[in-house]
Amino acid sequence: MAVSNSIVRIIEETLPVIVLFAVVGIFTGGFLRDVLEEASYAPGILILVPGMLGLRGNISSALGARLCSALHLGYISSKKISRDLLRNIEVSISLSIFISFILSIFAWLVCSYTGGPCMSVWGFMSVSVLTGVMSGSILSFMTSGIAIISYRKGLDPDNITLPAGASIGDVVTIICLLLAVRLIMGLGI
Amino acid sequence: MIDARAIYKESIPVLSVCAMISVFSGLFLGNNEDLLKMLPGILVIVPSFNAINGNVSSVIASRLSSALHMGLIKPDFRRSKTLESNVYAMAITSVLSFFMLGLAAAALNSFFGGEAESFFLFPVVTFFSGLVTISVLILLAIFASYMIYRNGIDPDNVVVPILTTVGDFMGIGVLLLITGMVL
Repeated sequence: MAVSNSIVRIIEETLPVIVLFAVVGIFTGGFLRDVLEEASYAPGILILVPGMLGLRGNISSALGARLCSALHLGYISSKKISRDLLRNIEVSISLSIFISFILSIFAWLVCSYTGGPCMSVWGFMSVSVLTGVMSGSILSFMTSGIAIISYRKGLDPDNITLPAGASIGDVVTIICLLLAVRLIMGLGI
Repeated sequence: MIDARAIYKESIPVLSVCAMISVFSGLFLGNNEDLLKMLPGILVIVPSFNAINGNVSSVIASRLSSALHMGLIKPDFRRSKTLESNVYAMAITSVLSFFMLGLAAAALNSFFGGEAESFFLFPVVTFFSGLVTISVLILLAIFASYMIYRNGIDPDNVVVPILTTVGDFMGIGVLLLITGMVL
């Protein structure tokens, strides 16, 4: 019986994981508070936050899922770095950059239309794309590393790569966003 | 060989729509900057709050789609034991998680120096916001899985992105709305 429908069993298996992610999320929240403090230098920055977190999660879980399938099917070897692996990472980083760009345009439009305090379109673009480049690169390599190492250790990468990637991804992305704001506002855009 | 063009073609439209919806979630945060500065505990729990919503609804969606694929439940909106135990289990899991998160929020708020009228504000707000959001998400998970399965599409590919995006948007909105109402 692959699927158990005992209520206790479902709770036993899901509650610890869900609570664990909630605890990791609190660290992300702590950094989010720093973003709020930066909001006086970069007005409207909070508008970018849910989009940044959501996209990073979607892009790196898609990469993780593709790599896991490729490892299982033997398209990618866990012994050496193949061209296909590098191509996957490249696609994922390019997607991050492109979608960060799209996100910044939406964010700027909505921010200026609703009339709150708001950075220039260049401010939104540079913060968003710089965050995309940094967190997209870190997370693509990290996701690949987790998938390959867990496969090499004889574990099923499907069970580990996505949950680990999602929770670490949020923290990394918020830290990159803070760095990007400080770098760009320090340069005076 | 990987087909990079196919990946771009399939993911850019979905990701762009998600980006657009998430900007509106961001707008809730941006428009409530003053409230968030007054009660930093609320902002600190936003990622966890969204993570609970996202995880609970993804778990129920993928359990339902597996059950549908295996023929354990039929997409006919009738009560069945499988459906009920899944719903009860996830309801209990989320109630416990939101309660714990509320206590954490209260502790964090005083740690970060927020002005809180009472310690119980956070558990109450988190708990009720969580209850409202997760009830809608569980109903949406059932409805979306059944409707999509009936139309011959694999719910695995569609339901989880829908639920996480709707969950983020609703979660932040309801959390701020209920905080504003209680104050």
